[in-house]
Amino acid sequence: MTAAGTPDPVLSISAVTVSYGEAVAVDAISLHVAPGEQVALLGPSGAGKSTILRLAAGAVRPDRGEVEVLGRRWLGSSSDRQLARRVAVIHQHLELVGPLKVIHNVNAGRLGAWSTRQALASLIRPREVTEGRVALGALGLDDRWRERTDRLSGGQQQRVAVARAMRQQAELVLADEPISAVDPAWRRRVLELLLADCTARRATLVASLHDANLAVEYFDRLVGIADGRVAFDLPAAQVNTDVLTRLYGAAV
Amino acid sequence: MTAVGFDLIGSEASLATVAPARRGRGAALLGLVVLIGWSAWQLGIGRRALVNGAGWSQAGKFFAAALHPDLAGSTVRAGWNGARVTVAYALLGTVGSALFGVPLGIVAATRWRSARRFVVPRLVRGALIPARGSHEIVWALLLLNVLGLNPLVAILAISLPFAAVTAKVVGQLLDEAVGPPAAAVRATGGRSGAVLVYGVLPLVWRDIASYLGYRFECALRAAAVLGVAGAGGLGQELRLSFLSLKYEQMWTFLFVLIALGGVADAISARLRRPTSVAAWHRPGAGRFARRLAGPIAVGGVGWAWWELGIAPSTLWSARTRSLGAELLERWFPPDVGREHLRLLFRLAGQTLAISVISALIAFAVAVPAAFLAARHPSHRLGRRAAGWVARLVLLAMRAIPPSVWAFLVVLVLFPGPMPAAVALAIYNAGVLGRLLGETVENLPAGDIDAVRRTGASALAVFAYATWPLAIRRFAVYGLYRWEVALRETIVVGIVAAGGLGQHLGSRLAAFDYPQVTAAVAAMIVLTVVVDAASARIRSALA
Repeated sequence: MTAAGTPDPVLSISAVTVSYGEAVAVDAISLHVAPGEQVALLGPSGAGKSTILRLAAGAVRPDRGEVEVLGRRWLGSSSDRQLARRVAVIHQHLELVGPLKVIHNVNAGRLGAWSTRQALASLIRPREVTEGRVALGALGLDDRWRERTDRLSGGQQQRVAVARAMRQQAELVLADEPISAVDPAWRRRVLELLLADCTARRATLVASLHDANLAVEYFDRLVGIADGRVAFDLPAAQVNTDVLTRLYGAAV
Repeated sequence: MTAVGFDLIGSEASLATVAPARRGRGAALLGLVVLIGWSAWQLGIGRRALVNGAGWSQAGKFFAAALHPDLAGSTVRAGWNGARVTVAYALLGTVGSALFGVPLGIVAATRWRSARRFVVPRLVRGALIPARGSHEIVWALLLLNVLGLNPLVAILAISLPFAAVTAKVVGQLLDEAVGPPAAAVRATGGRSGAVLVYGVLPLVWRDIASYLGYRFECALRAAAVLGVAGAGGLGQELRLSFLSLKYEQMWTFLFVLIALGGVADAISARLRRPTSVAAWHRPGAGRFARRLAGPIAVGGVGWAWWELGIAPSTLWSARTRSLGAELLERWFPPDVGREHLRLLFRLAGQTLAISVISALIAFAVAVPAAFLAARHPSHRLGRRAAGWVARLVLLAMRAIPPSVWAFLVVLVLFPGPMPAAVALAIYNAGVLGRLLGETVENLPAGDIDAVRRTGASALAVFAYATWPLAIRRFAVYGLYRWEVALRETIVVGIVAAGGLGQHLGSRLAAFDYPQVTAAVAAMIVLTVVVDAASARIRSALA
């Protein structure tokens, strides 16, 4: 806690610029997220939402500016492991290990908490199967836990990726389009679960979403990103059609 | 652009469709385990002494000589001349395999045809099997009887089996490429020929070109092997200096061979890299290289032709015709008497055992070597240096022909089939190690990174991501290597004692041609059986 009584931010991006070659992905952007907040990033494709999440996950280094996560900086060394286990990432491209069984992919979320020996033994006799199956069951995949992951459909695999992130029990959850591949019938359910899990554990959630209406409905705070800058940063109640039209129109 | 073609480098058949469901996986794996156990028993592993302690000092002398190769003018000149001959063989052999193989592949493919009559493709495919099943060296021995001592022997010996393999790959590439573009051409009323030329070939010709690049790499190794058997070039120089125990001289030639292998591997790897293929497709990009490719190829072929003094008229001279007729007369009918068949059956078992054990050892060496050899941007200086050393050792292992390895291995192992298996294993570990190393480099980085980002330890990342992603690809490449190793048992069999190769060598020396024919036929049958078994296990693994 600082002297003023506001809690230290969980994620603090200060005046950060990232370019991929010629293209500037984010341009002197700043974003601060307090503990327990649930923030949705909105904006057209290529606006820089993924880059912000990758910065937070330590997968991209800032060219300029600073990124602090849980009061620390990503160092690109082995000490990052301690930080990595406190930050769960749901990747846009799923990035599951296809040939492994579903339960092992879900358990991959536990690898930061387990010793190496426990991790290796679990490949032979899976550990924490009950907890893993509860997470999968909530996502409608209870009966699939012993299957090879690459035999599941794209939407089912995305739900496995969500389960992996939930099992990590991280303080900060970063989700890049976590429901983009999920079949419509399951979208709300997955989002609700993710939010409820974070609320219950007082974890912080930053998610990029394609569907602005869902974001308005479910999240506390919405951040619009356009052309690598913050276009707006408002409580959900203040985000109306005008604001959204301007955001998505800006890219046209 | 089809993404195929880059996975087929381990072998020639990798485009074979993967079975949708893994049927009988347990049975296939059990069969493999039984086969390995039986092979080990066949080779006497654990039953008798294998290592001959007395040979170590000779082997030590050989490796010590690597530190001071013979740099005398005459040796260096011999190395230079030998290298030119070997490269010329490889070039013309590759061109020959393209000239025969690509048209045959088109004929063997079925899906571009509108008619559903597949008699011709089936006949061609059937005719290709014995050509593929016979090793270059068998072809060379056969052709030697007809053409006499002539550079065409080595060129055709490389071209014919390589053409058969190329035809198979081209046929599969074409069949896989028949899609919407071909349907569009057909919809405009195009005949089969138009479908082929406008709808199929444009999609695959670059894949074919890069495959031929890989064939050149193989042709260079084949040219060295044929050289050891007497066809001239670096291989022959190697053999002569080995027979006179001039190890320093040998190393001079080996270093030249390793350097050539390194260049050929680099060219072939470059041709296969998907990014370079993508660049081919970008208008403007690589235009320079594209313009030069044709003239360089034509110039190279012209040079090789002149270098070897090719006189194609030999092929249809009266002498060739009479020798050919004589060959048919003397080699047929094969000796299929009961006694000989029984012998062939026993030797085929030994050959099978040699191939299994050599592939197994090669796999066991190649897997750790691959992880050591694979490059990764995160590697620091020390790790990078270790990778360089690993890649260099693997290069030397595959650049040195298996028959030369056999000469060395028989120094330290007691005679029998085991030295043949070990010699083949060293060579194949070199080939496989590089292939698996490339596989490791091409694993989906994001999937591995996602596991790393959960805070997993390095070993846990390996167990949860790298290994499960790699092992199936490894197994598939390993099985393909087994198929290749079987063919190569012939080469080492002639040098080290073992299997059908040894029998073939001794029968040739005794001019007992009916038995030679039967031995070659037995080898072809065995090849077909092993290819089928390997395909079966591969589909069970998928």
